[in-house]
Amino acid sequence: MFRFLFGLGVIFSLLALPISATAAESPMRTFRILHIMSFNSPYRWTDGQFDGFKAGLGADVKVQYKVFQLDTKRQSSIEEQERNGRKARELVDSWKPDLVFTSDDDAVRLVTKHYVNSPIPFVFCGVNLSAEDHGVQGASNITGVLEREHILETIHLMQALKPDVKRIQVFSDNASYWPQVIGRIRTIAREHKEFTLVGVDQPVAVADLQRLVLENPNKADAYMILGNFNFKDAKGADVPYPILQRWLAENSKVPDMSFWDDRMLHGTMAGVTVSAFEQGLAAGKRAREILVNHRSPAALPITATTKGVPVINLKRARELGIMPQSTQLLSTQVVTDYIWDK
Amino acid sequence: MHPAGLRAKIILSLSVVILVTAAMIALSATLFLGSQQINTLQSRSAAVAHSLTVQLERITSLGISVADIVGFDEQCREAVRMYPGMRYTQVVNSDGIILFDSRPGYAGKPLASNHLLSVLHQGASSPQQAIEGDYVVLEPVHSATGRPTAIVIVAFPRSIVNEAVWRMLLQGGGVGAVVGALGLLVLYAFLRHQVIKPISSLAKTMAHLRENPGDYSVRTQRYQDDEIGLLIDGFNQLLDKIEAREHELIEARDTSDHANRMKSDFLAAMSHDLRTPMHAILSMNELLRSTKLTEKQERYSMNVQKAGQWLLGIINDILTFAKIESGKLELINGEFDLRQLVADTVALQEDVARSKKLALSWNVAPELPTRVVGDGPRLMQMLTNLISNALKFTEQGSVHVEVMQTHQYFSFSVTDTGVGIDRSKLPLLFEPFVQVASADAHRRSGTGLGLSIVKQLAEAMGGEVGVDSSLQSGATFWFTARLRPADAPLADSAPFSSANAPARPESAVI
Repeated sequence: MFRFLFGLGVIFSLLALPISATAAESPMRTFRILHIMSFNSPYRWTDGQFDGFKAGLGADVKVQYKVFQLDTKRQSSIEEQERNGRKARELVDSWKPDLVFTSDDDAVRLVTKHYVNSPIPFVFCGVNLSAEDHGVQGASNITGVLEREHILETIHLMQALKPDVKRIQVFSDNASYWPQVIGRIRTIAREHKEFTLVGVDQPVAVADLQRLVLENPNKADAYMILGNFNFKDAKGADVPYPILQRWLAENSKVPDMSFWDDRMLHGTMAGVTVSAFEQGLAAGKRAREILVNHRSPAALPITATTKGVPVINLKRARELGIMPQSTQLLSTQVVTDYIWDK
Repeated sequence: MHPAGLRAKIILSLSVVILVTAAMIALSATLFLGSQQINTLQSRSAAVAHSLTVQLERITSLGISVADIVGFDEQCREAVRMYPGMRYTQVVNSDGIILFDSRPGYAGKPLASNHLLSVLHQGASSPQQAIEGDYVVLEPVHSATGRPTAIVIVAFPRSIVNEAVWRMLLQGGGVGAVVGALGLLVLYAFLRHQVIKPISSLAKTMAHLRENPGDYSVRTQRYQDDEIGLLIDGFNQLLDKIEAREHELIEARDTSDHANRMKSDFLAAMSHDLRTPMHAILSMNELLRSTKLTEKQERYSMNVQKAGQWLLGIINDILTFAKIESGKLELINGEFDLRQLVADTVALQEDVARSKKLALSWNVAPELPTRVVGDGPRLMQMLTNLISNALKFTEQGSVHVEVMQTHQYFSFSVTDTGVGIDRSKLPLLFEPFVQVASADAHRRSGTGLGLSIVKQLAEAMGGEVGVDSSLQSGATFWFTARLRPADAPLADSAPFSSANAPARPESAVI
């Protein structure tokens, strides 16, 4: 009896071998990909990255997606972030995806760095901090796309719109990844004489930000707005960034700039933006190399995208008395209204 | 056909054909390409105008009126920079005020061209216009509501089309000339080898034949197996046949000449051998007649005398003809009395004339010298032949001998009133052994050599012979001869004729 069962097992094993091998090598296999986003959806930036990722992966690859939102814009306290991070990691462990795709820095910080050198490949994008700062540099299973702001291009766009802009003031919340961005701004300011960095302020309270914006103590010609998610109101709660953006558009008399197209929808005057789609596209191509072409994540270098998209909010510009030259109108994405007008 | 002439004609013909062809091709290509150039420029200008219009409409779609747009001059300049040859681009509002222009200093000013302004006022219904040296393309700009708000004008100068046409014409002409020259060289080289060279060779052979009559030994070299080769073959074969026939003719002539000489030699020898016994017969008959004879014997003797004289005349004619034929005749160049010679010759025929009751007379023109240098006996023979012929063929009337000077010749003529000669037979009269005057057997007596001898003697004396006659109208036989007056002419230069001849009557009626 034992011999009979053993022989039957061998036969079934032999029959099953070719099927398994075929399934492993076939590109038509359905992969399980877990997308962990730092923020939430719908959100122009996050959704753009996900769309780009799908395009980069290719329509021929069959995928079963599962999405987890860390929602750190709205649940920004340490406790909330830790809790959501833990849930995300539990999902990774239980669902056992073929690949995890993360967007922005919080996802790397809360999830990816816990899987360094694990069997599950991770691909990130929209990351402002460096891989070393996140502690994932050199990991065998992690690769991704860094987000590098088009700082100089944005300043040049601002100067093209308003040639007398020389003095730049930076405002930002105090999220953990902004210091590196501010460091890059300082470096560029030292290397270029066409503008001067007159101040960098990261107030915690939104009231302080509003006072600084209105008083303009450093006599800045233009403001550069970085983080806007974590300014606190009188009760210590985060002020929703659309509210803050509307206040800036309606009260600030100084032209402002930023690096994400969502900001121009919310009233920022101009900026050469990082393309969310390009970020996701580059990440998707890496995922394809890993899943379809069986390349190791470590063999795919961590780099930044270079393509910037100039965007102008024409309504804000005209309210500030600036009429863009036809060349700028023709060579940029032009936002004609505020998002709250729709 | 001169070789150089053929060469020149071929070169000229080829040059004309190739040059005309090249010129036609260059002209056609230029017209076609010129038309294409205009179409290309118009299409390009229309595309530029459309591009500027799209940009303006894209800006106005942002809620900016055309009048509020800033810096669109740069787009106008960029269009001109991108498409060399374009003169200017501009944007004009409906009032004809220039809003933007690729040229500095035009913005804000009204249009200078009234024609263009009128076109604008007509609503730019005709999108492409030729205005003041430019081709102009107009395209209206519409607002988001579809209302026309401005007009984009793109202009390129007609001069660049003309320059392009000229440039293409020159290039086409140059290329055509080069191709034509090369084609001419190639064609000339081909024709020189295939046509000119063999035809020149043929022409050289023909020139040799012309300059060396009878030399048919040259042949033309054959170069190739074509129509000209066949022509040369045919020409060479013709020469082969001519050369062979020439050889045959020469051989036949030599054979004939040899046989003729043999015959003449025979006749000369025979005549001489016949004449000697004939003289003996006549001499014996003379001696016999000097003896006392009966009347019957006298008559018989007279018949012998007449027959002997007649036979001697025949023998003399044959001897003379044989000498002429064999080339052994030698004319005497002696001095004699012309009038006496004529008188003596006529006197010898008087008996015959008298027997036929014919008047026989003679006259020598008085201006002629009495004594001349020449062959008197042969002249006498010639006159005797003509007079005896005249007497033979005249039954009644007269025979008259006349001697006169015609230019440098002495002209002798014998005119009779005889039966005359059919004009159709006149050309045969002076051929040897021919008698055409009558079918009468009596009159056909003789050798038929008399007139032929006269002809050949006259020609030997530098003159010629002839006859004027027709049936029943008598005849005049004449001949001329070159006679030189003697060095010491007689003092008496009066006309010497039968009328005043001292020894002979002017005429005698027998």
